[in-house]
Amino acid sequence: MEEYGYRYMEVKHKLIEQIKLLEPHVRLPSRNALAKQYNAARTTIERSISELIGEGYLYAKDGSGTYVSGERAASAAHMPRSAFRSVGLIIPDIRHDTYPGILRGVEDIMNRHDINLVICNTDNQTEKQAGYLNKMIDLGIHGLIIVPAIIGHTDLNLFGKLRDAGTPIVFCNRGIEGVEAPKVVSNNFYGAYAAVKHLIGNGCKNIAYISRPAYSTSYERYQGYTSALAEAGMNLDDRLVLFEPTFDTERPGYDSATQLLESGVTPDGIFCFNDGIAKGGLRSAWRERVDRRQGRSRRWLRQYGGFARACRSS
Amino acid sequence: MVTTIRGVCESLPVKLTSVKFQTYDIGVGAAGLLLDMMNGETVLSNKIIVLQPELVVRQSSYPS
Repeated sequence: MEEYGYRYMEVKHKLIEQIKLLEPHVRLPSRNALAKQYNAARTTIERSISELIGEGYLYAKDGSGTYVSGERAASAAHMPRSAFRSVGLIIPDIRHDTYPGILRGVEDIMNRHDINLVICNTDNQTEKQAGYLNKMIDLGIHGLIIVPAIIGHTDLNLFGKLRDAGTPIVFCNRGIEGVEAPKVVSNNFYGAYAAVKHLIGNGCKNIAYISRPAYSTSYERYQGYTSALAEAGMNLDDRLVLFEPTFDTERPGYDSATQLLESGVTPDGIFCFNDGIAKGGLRSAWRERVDRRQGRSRRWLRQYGGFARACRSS
Repeated sequence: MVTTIRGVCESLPVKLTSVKFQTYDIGVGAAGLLLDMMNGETVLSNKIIVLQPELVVRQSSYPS
């Protein structure tokens, strides 16, 4: 499979080079002839040609074969030597949360289509995001996938510029109000609902939610949390819901969990927004449990995301 | 699992139950849509692909 992908890209490169030397509307040699010329399987040639048609290098005429496109040849004339396209991927931080997975998925597809990928980390700062968007516009990027930054004010003009330039945009995880573009999102509501419902099924009566600060995603998860409680006929206790004060708290989860455990109501289950909060919350809950060495407190820690560590005792 | 406090200490790390996102598929889905648009296919601006997360039950929330 790997080999096949590599071979096919190699053939596609060579075909593009060959096409560049041909005049517009010249007929391409037959598939069989090309297969022979490049010592490649006919399916490899067919896949390359079909993509080159899709990319505007070639066009097919019913029954009479495949021809070199005029448009592409003209535009290729003032393009850099490499006709390969570049797309941007703007994410908050390549190291965390859902972003390593998203990057890998995007990269695999772009690699398969021989498209360069430019990766930008915004640290969730709209200012940094704006800087990258300007660079993308200057670069004449061919497309953009973006997980919008959430801290600060988003300059919609930059998205207007991209639209005017005809640059397609796809949002991941969340969109931006006022910018119309397709989205690929996770069902945050459902994730939270399923997690809290699971805790309820385990007999938890006082389930806490420790969240990142209020923004679209944390609200969606909060709604899932409240829905699971409502479905079970359980009351919402505000003391059990904590939104962290800022996105860059020094000890995510820790202070919130401490506050929660000191609030007078004892949670018997905790639903955490993500890994970081679960880790911090765990440390705090752990300390609290040690303090109450003789007590009968029991904590269930739940983590929303990856692979943090938790402990439980009874 | 019944442990003493010391026992919990010793038994760390215990794995947390988590909600798993289909992150790779988010990337693949977004890249696929973008390619379609770059290739001139019509993708409606209100198009939305929703991926369903999955609950993975681990030690932190095994039913008692």
